Amino acid sequence: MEPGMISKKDLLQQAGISYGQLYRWKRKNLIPEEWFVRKSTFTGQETFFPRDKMLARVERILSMKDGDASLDDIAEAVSPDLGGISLTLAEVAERSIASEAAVGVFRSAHPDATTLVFGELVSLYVVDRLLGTGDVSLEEARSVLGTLEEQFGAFEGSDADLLCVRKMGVTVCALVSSTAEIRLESSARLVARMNLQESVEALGARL
Amino acid sequence: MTENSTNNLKIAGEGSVGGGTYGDVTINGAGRVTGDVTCNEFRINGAGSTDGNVAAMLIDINGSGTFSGKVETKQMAVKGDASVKQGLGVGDLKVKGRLSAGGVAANTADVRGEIRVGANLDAETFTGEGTFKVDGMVNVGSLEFALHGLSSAREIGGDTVIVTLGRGFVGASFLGLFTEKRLTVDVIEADEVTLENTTAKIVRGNNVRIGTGCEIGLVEYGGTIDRAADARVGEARQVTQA
Repeated sequence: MEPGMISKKDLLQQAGISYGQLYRWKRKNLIPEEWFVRKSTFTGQETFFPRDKMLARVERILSMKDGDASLDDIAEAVSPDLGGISLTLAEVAERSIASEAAVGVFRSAHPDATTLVFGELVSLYVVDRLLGTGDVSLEEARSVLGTLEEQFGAFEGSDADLLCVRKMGVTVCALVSSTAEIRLESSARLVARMNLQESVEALGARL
Repeated sequence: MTENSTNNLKIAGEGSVGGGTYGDVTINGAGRVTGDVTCNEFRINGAGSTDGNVAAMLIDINGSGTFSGKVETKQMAVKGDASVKQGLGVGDLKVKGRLSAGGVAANTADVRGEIRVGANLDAETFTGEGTFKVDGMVNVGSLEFALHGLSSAREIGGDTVIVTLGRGFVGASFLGLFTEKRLTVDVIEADEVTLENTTAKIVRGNNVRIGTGCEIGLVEYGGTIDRAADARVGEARQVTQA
C-alpha cells in the first residue's frame, strides 16, 4: 500500500466507526469526495484515504458530536460558507490575519484594493503562512499570489495543494489536487507544498 | 417576498415564455420556459420544458417535464416522465413513472417505476420498486427497494441496504418490465445488508443476509451472515470491525 494512505477497512477499525457513519458524513460533505481514492488491489477495488487528514477529520467530527453538535453544524465548521465575507485591509491587520509583509505583497499587486473578499483573504493568508516559514522570498510570494488568484477558482469546492518548485533560482508555482503525487527532476526542488483547504478552514476559524 | 411572488405565470394550450421570478408557474398543455426560473410552485399538466436552472418550493409534473439545467426544490412529484439534465437537489422526491437526472441529492426519494442517474444518488432514505440505474454511487441512510427489472450501480454504501425481489407489482406490465429482476453492482458496503437476486463483486457489512438468487464474489462481515441455500458466494470471511 502507498505510504500516507489508509484503507477504508483499516480506517473503520482504527477509528471505531461504521460504514453507515462514514457514508452519512460523506453525504453531509463532512468528508470531501477527493479523499476517497479508489485503487485496484489484489482483493479487488478498495478505497483509500489520505491517512493523517482523514484520521484528524474523523476525530474532529467525533469530538464535535460528543459536544452534541448536529451534523449540519459540523459541516459548517469543517467547510464553512464564507463566500459572503469581506474585510478591509485595516481589519486584516486588526485581526492579525496576515503580516505586514504579506499585506505589502497583496498591495503591490492591487494598489487600489481596500476591501478583500474571502477568496482574496485566503490567498493573502496562504502567502502569509508561506512567508512565515521563510521558505519563499517576497518575489516568490508575489508569484504565489498570482497563481492563487488565477487558478484557485478551477479547484472550486475541491481539495487542492499549492506547490512551489525551484530550479536554478527560478521558481514556478502550481496548484494540484491534494492527493496527487509529484515527481520532480533531480535538479529541481520542491520548496513548499501547502494544502489550501486547511488554510481555508484555519482562516475560517479566525473570522 | 417581492411583488413578483404574486406574479403568476400560466401557459394554457401552447406557448413559450421567458424565465424570471414568479409566484406559481403552471403549464397546461405544452409550454416552454426559456432562461432561469425562480418560483413557488412549478406545475406541468401535459408537456413542459425549461432550458435554464429552476429553483422552486414545489415541482409537480403530470405528463412530461424536461429540465435542461439544475433543479433545486423542496418537493418534487413526478407522475409520468421527467428528465433533469444536470443535478437535482430535492427534499422530498416522489416518482411514479420515470425520472432521469444527471445527479440526485435528496432527503427522501420514493420511486415506483424507474430512476436513472448519470452520476451519484445521495439520499437519507431511498425506497421504491421497479428499477434504478446509477452510473456512480448510491449513498443512502437506508435503501429499501423491490426489483422489477435490471438495476445497476457502481457502488452502494450506507446504514441499511435491503434489496428484494419484487413480487406482484401491478404496474409491471404497464412498464414493460418483463426482463430479469436483478441488481448488478461492484461493491455494497453497509452496516445491515439484505439482498436478493443481486450480483456483486464484494459485499461488506456487519450483519449480512445473502438471499435467494444472489451471486456474490466476496462477503466480508463483522457480525453475522445468513445465506440462502441457492445463493452463490465465492468466499465469506469474518473480519473484526467496530
